[in-house]
Amino acid sequence: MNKLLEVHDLSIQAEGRRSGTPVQILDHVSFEIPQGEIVAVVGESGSGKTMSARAAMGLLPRGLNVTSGGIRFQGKELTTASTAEMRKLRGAQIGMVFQEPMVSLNPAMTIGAQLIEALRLHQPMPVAEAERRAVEMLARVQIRDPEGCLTAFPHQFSGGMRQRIMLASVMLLKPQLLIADEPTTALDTLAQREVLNLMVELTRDTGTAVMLITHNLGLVAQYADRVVVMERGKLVETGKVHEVLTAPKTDYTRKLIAALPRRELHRAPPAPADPIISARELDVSYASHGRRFTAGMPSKVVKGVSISVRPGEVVALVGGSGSGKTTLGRSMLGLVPHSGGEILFRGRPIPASRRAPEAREFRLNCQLVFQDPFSSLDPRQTVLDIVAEPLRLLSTAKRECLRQAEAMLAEVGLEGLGGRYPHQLSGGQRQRVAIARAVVRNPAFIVADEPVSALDMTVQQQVLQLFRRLQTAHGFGCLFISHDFGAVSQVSDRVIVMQAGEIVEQGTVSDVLDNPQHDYTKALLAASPTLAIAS
Amino acid sequence: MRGRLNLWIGAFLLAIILVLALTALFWTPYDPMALDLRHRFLPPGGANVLGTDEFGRDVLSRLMSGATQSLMVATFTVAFATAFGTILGLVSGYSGGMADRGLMVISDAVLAFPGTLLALALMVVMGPNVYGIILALGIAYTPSMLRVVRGAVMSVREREYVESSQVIGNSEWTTMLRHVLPNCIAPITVLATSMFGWAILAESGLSFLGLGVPPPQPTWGNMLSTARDNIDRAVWLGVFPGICISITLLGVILLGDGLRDKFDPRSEGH
Repeated sequence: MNKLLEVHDLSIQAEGRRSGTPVQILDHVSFEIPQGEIVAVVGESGSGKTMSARAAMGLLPRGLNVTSGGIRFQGKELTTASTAEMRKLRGAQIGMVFQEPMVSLNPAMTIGAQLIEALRLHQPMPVAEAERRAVEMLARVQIRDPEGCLTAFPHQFSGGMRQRIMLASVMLLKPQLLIADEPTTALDTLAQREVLNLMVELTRDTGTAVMLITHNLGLVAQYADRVVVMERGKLVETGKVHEVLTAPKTDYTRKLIAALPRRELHRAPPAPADPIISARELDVSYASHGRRFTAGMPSKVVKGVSISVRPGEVVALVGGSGSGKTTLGRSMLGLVPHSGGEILFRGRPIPASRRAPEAREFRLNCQLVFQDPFSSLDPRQTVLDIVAEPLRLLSTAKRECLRQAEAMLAEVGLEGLGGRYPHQLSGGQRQRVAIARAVVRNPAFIVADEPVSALDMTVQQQVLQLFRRLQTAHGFGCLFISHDFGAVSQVSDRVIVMQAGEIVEQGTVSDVLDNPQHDYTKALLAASPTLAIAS
Repeated sequence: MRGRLNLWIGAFLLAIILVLALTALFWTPYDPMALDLRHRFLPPGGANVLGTDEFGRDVLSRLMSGATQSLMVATFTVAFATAFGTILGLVSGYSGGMADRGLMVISDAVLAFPGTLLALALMVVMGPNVYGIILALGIAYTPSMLRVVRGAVMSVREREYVESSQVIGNSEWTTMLRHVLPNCIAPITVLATSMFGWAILAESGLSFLGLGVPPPQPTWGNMLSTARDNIDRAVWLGVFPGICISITLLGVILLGDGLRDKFDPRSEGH
């Protein structure tokens, strides 16, 4: 076996910023990446998987130092290489694709300029030749109109397309090793599959090895040859993918595998009742940007959608990015005005005026859980204040508010953390706070907008279980928006699939998952890696 | 730690100046306005600790008495600009639409004049007195504060916790005051502390043009500007007001930094 990258006995320490005691980021880690193979590095946030990749690129953040061992690339030691030597390797020999396609392309430069710059930096050639190769590569990653793409700017592309462009720019140099750091975490399931399929195809052609960093074991099963499991800076287990996944040797790996979403036994559907909230023939449109002085044609994001949610029922709304699912959820809460149709709350339309008593009842009874727990909590409020805030409007005494908020925090498993600020909590804990805030007023209806997609797999699992428990205990109706059938299958009673602003399929969970009718649903299901391994 | 230290050094420097200014309300070593032509240009040391000026007036007494004036002008100017700038900026950034457009047109118009020129025009109308200066400088500085607050509000407005506050059912004003304003405090503090400095210097600029606090009432600004004429004979006349201005500015900036860190929960721990 020909070793391309060899991490041997690598330790990395962070200088203690205040306490003075150094923090161990990586602890004597050894693994290798053979030529042309795809090796997945798996672990939760903070396991050191990203830092091992950054060490290989020579891009460790300031304050982090290699304290033992090293990294050999084609037999050459990287940790002691000079900056000039590293610069020659980066891009040409080792390429890297980052997690966030929104920020990894320079917004002020055209795509063409960025691709050609990188190419000519490492392989001197005439501009025309570089351009020809760039177009060729863009066509290979299935960008429509590759010539036009050269003069376009990053903001004109969707996340999935940007990630494909990023991939093109890296693979243009035919590197020996591609480091992909959570390359598809920010994308929806369909785009994720496209990008990863392209990555596998391109790297196979050039014989490039891939270091795929991910927290999603489902992806590992589907794409990788070998897997390295890491926990808190230590190597836990390594080996061939099917060996590790079918016969895990350590508890930690078993725990990761157990966190893969699998179908739960179905509970009895809630008793038929009048819907708590329903939308009839709902249209939502955004005014698009016009050219110069004329207003653009409004673009319809939601087209004549009718849905209803009964008390205590969890309805999943599934679709890729741009399917209008988030907009539909927000317009049902009155956060986005609708341009046609109507929304009925307990059988009555919601009055336009905020001051009407029905409008108040509607507001007090509807809540929203956001996707990103990092931006949905006010950084200047303590956790207890955040959870107590919705109660203020119920004209309860302050002391009673705080008591209820504390009880709610205990219910979501955050007992005694009320005095902390959001930045002192982990992502999963923050999402628990956000859920507590939504549930504390005992609302009749909650919209949960991708509540777990920003979290690690194991944490996702815990938060989903919490959500399910709260839903059973409090009995609220819920619109659960997601692109992930894995999460959907665990919590919902009914599934609605949306594509391009319209409902293409709906039914009970087992109907839709086991017997999908529409092509789009089938594509979404096929792209869901987590289900592939669970079954 | 560094923030804490800044806070204390800043508070200490300002305390010195404040004690000087407050003492001057009851007592100064000599009458700051009494002329004594026999003792002109006495160097520092001796009976007049910081020397005397071109009319034989005691520099220390004038500095103390000037501190009251300068600090008052700066404090009220900053308070004026910050209060109006913040309120208008919140409205402008949060609600957008016509209110925003209207306020932007007005603030553009005010910003188009150099601040001193605007103050000059207002002073001519108001007549040279302390209140005129405060009003003039306050109006001249309000648009800068408005702009900064508006920008900060527009970025905070898009955060999900603001949307979440609406979902909870909070009114627009509650949302603005509880969630938007506290998260805009950092740029407001930075600008307000720099404005404090601008105001002291602008007052001296106006004094120099004969439109500041009218003589013989001393301010640091007019002491500095008259010192220029005698800089070759009596360098201390310019040095001491200059030191006072520097100490005050340093104190305000350090205190502002420290307060900002102290009230930002994210600055603890890390």
